[in-house]
Amino acid sequence: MIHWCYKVAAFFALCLLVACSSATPRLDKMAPLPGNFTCRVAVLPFQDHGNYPRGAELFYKVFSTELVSAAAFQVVQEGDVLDLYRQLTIFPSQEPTLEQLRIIGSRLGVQLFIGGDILRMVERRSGLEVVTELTVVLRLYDGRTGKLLWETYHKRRGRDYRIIMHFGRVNTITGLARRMSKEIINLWIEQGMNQCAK
Amino acid sequence: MKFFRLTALALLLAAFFPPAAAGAGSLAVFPLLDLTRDANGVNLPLTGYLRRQAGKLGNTLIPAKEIMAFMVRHRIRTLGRLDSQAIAAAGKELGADLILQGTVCQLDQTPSAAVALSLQLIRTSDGRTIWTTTKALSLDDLQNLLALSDPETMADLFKVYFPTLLASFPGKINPAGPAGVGLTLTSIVLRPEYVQPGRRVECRVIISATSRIKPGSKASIQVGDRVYPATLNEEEYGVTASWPAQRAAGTYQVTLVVKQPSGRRETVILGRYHVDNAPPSLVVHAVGKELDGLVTFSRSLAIITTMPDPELLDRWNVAVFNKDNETIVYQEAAGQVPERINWNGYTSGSIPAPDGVYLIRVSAWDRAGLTASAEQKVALRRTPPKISLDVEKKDRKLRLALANSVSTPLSFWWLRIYQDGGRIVKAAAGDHFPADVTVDLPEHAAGSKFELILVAQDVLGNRTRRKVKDLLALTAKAQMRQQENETESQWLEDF
Repeated sequence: MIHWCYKVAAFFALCLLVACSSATPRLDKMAPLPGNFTCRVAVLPFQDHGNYPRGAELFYKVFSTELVSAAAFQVVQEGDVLDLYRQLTIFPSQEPTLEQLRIIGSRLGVQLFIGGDILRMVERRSGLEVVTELTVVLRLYDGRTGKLLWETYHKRRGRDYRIIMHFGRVNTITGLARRMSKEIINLWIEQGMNQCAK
Repeated sequence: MKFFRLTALALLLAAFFPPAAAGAGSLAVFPLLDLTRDANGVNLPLTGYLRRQAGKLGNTLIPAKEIMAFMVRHRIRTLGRLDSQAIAAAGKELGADLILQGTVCQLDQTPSAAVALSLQLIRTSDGRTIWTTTKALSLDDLQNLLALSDPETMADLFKVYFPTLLASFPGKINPAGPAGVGLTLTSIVLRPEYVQPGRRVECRVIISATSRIKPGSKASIQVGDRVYPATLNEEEYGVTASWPAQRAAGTYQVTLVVKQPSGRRETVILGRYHVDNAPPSLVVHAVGKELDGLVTFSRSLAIITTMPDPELLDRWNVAVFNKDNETIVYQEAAGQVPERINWNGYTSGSIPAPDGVYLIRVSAWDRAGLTASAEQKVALRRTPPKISLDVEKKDRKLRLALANSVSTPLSFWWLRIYQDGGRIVKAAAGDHFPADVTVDLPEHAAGSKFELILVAQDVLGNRTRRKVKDLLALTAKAQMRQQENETESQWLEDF
C-alpha cells in the first residue's frame, strides 16, 4: 500500500515539474487593465538577480524593441524614464514606491508601466552546444495608481526551441530574450491588452 | 481574375518605381552603446559599420564629427538612451529628421562567436520610436548539416549579419509625425518637501520642447481644490509659481495645469509636499541614582530621549549647562536623536567637570524646521568618602571611631586589622558612618605593630581605600596628621 502511495506521489511530482517548464508564460491577473488604454507605456529598469553581466540592461533593450515592433506600443524613451529616476533620487536597481510610481505615471503621461525581475540569465558552452537559459518575471502596473495589475512568469532554455538536431536551437542569450519577449507580449495581447494601430 | 490583374499591375509598378528610400530624411547615427564592455561602453567600429549600411539605404547622414560635437555640447554622457530633450535638440541643431541609436548586446568570441545588436529609429519631430530591431547571430546558428564551409571567425559572421540587419528599415517615414500628446517635463524643482503652515512653497518646471506649447497658453498650479497662478515663459518653456502652505497638516499633491488657447487642458502631477504644524515631542530621562531630588552620577550618565509621537527629524543637539548657565558640553548631528547618549562627566574640552548641579538640554528640529527641546537637572558627585579615624587605647582595648565628612550616603565599608605576621586581629563591616569598632588586643602583644586596611564606597561608586601601617601610632593626634600624608585615596576604574 505504501509502495503505491510513493508511486502516486512521484507521478504528481513529475506533473508539477512538467508544469513548471511550460512553453507559454504563466500570467496572473490581479486586476483588469485600464479601459482607456492609449498605447503609451513606460518600461522601468528591471531588477537583476541573475549572474549575467549587465543582464537587466540587455533584457531591457531587447524587450523595449520588441514592444515597439511586435505590438506597436508607444514606448517612452529610456532616457526620459532614467531622467525621472534621477529627479526622484531612485536608483535604477531600486523599485519605486507607489507614490513615486504615481508621479512617474503622471509625468510621463503613461497608462501602463512595465517592470520586472531577471531571476536567471545564463549563457555557457556545454560540450558542442551553447546553453542559454532565462527566467523573468514581468509586471504591469497601472500608470495612474501604481497598482499591480498583471504578473507574468516565463522560463525558457535555448534548447526548448530545437526542431531537429541542432536546428532551431537558440544559441545566444539575446536571441532567447527576444523570443521570450515576443511570447510574453503575444500572450498579453491574447489576454486583452489593447494593441495599437501600426 | 480581377485579383490576378491587380497583382500583375502592382508587380509592373514595383519594377519601374521602386519604393521610396528613407533618404527623404536626414539621419544621425549616434555611437552604439556596448554592453559587452561596461554599462556605458562605446563601440565606434561597429557604429561606423552601421553608418555605412544606413548610408547604402539612401539616407542623408549627419557627419559623425557633428554628432560628437553635439554630444559634447549637450553633455550627453550615457549612450543608447537619449531623452526627449536631447532628441528634440538633435532635430533642431543637427537638422536630423531621424536618429538611429542602438546597443551592442553581445559581441563574443566565447563560448561561441556571436553578435547581437538592438537598434531604435527615433523621429525627432515627436520623439517617437518608429522602428526597432534586435538581431542576434551566433556561429552555431550557421552550422551546416555536414559542417561544410561553416563560418569560423567573427569576420565571417559579420558578412552574414550586417547585410540583413537593416533589412526591415522603413522605406517611407513622415518626418513631421502626428500631433504631440500631453506635457513632458524636463526638470522639476518643488520645495520644500516639508513645510510649516503659511511658509512659501515654490516650484520651477521646465517643459520639454517636444510638448509644443502654443503662444497664449496659461499655466496654473492646483493644490487640492485651490488653484494658484503660475508664470509661463513660452520662450524657455519654464513655469514658476509660489504659494503659501496650507494651515492644516497633511500631504498635498501639486498638479501643473496648462491651458492651451484652443481650450485644451493638460495636467501633470509634479509631486507632493507635507505641511507639518506640530513640533516634535521630546522627553528626556536621565538614568541614575536619585539623591536629594536629583539624578546623581559619578562616572557616566545615560541620557534617554524618547518621542511620544515619533516622527523623522532633520537634526538635534544636546548641551550641558553649569550653574552659571555656561555651556560646558555641546554636540549636534543630523537625523534622529540617539536612543541613549552617555555623558562621562567631562567638558567638551576633555576636562573633568567639577562636582555640582548641571542642566542637560536636548533640542530637535523636524523636517519642516519646527523645534522642540526637553531638559533635566542632574548632579555630578565625584568626591569619594573622606574618612576621619580616631583611635583610643585603654588597657588591652583599642577603640576606633570612624566618620565620613562627605554627604553622599555610603554603600558599604569594611576594615581588617592585621598583627605582625599577617594574623587577622579584627574584621568589621557596615553600611553607614559614624561607626565605632572595638578591638581586643591579644596577650603578649607589647611591641607588636597592628596594620589597618579600611575601604569605604558610596552609593555612586566613589571609593576610598586607606592603609595605616601602625595603628597604635595614631593614638596621638599629631602622629595622626603625619599618617594622613600616607593616606591612599584612589579611584577604582571598575568594581
